[in-house]
Amino acid sequence: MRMKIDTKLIKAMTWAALLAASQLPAIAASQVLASIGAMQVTSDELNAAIASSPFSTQFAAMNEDDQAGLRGDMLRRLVASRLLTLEAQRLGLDKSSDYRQDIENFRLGLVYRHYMDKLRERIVVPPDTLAEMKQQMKGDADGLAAAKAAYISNQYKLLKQTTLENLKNQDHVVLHEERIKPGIKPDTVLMEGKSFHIKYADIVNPREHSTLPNPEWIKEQLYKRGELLLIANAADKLGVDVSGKLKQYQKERLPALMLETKTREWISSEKTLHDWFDKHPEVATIPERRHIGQLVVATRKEAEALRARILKGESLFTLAGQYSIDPLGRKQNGDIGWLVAGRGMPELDRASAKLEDGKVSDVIETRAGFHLLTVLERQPMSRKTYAGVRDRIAQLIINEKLPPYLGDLERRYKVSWNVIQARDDSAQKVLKQ
Amino acid sequence: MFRSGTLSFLFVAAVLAAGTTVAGVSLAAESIPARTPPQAAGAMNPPAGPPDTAWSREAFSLPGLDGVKHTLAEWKGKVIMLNFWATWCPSCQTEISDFIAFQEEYRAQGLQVVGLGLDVEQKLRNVQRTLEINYPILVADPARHANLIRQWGNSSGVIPYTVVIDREGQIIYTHRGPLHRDAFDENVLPLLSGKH
Repeated sequence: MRMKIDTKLIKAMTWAALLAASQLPAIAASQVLASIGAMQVTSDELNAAIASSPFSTQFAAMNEDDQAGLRGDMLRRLVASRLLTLEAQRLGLDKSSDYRQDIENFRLGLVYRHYMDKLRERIVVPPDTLAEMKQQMKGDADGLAAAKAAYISNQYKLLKQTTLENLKNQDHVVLHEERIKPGIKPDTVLMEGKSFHIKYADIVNPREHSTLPNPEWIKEQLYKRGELLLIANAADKLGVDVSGKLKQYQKERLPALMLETKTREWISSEKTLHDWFDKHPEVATIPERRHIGQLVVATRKEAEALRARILKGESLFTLAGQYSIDPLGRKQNGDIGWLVAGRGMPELDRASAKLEDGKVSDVIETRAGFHLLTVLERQPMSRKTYAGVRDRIAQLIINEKLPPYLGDLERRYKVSWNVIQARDDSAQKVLKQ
Repeated sequence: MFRSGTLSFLFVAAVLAAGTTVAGVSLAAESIPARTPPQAAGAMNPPAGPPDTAWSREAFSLPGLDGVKHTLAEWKGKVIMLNFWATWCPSCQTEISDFIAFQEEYRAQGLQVVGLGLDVEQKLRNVQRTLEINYPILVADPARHANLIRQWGNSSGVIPYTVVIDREGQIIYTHRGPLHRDAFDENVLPLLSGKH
């Protein structure tokens, strides 16, 4: 955990310093911010990545230094992604049949959606129906928009159905549902037309299903695949161009595939996870939590006097409300809420660990003053099961392995940065936050 | 045939409209009613007596990000889009990108977008800088001005919310949720063609 924070801080410092002067809205022309072998990351790409990130809304409301820190972090990710792409290409992952199949499926999906969008765009609400809707909705803009959407959606369903029927007839599509039975082979053809055929292996992955799945489920996959291929085929005949989106997908898919490949190498079996768990049992520990009351004053003498009053029966909380030098503590009458064991001031952590519930502690000296504590109640330490932390372990292993791996790649492929050096103090500000 | 079609689209419309209300973001502490009453042209009931215009309402005076106090009356004679928003609201930011384009395109015809930011000044300033907002932003502390949005006809407090005021000060249209190009074309554009 601590290591993660340190890495974050170092990143924030380095990259805030490098990027403080860059701005989000694209300057006239896109600049190359980094080159990685023959690849690049441009300022436009960085801006697009930020705009499509989950923090894009907060980003706009951040101060310049914080924005610079985040831009730096994002640039680092984009460079890492390029490094993974280059490595994937070197290893020929982009030539593998799995990758090609993946890209082709994505392409089919794109042309399918394009065709269907065009189909939907052709539907207009007839003027008299529209007039009727406006009358019914009496100027309720949300309602009118929803009514239009509902009308179009209904019409679209009908149009889609007739379009599919026509395409099926044109292609003379034949279904072989009766072949879905035990003993089916990967290359058993389940649907065929003039321009395509669907085999069992196209819809059911034998690696995921060793036995025959529910036939109804298989049929559903079959119809879906059939619809996809028929429509995509019709779209291809019209010459639909999806190369832009496809390129973008390939750009994202290849580094992800490289990372998946490396992850399978790092976590080769369940045993890897178990071994790591055995070595790091603390990963499953939920530390003890203590509900603490506290009184803090400036001198030991004062603290001892108050302790004596508490022992005679006065309430620590009432006294804290009157005498505590900590303004928040005074305001809350000494109730400082639940503290997690192992965090906060070590002197107080140690004292509260061994203090019996409901008793007042001895006077404890810290840099903040002289404290008296009491523990109202505690939730004991507990442990999660292996199953409960399995995913977290996998992530921790990746976190551990990825930085050195990317370091190796950075040495293999020359990375050069074209970012503006900012003043040191801006990085310092980011560090403090 | 048409009759049943009408019924079904009305039913779906009601469901969808309730959905869009919930999808908005409420500034109000109380819960949003499942179906808020329609807000649109003339939806705000004019009180008996003098006509209800933007100028007959209680005026607000709020600091702008330019450091000067502003009242809405400064823009009398223009077609005003008074837009209630906050920096934490994603659909507000999406809409602002469109508003920047509208302001740029229709400035000469007298369009004046006025952003009313229900948020902390520094955050509003950051968004103004980041998105390069080209119209005035007034700062309204949400704790002190929680009622402002209600006074302008939005009982649920859902943002984004936009009030369209014509050159005579008539409140022509109010819009909850992001105001996109089609709503702009239908409700604001016609007001811009008639010169004052």
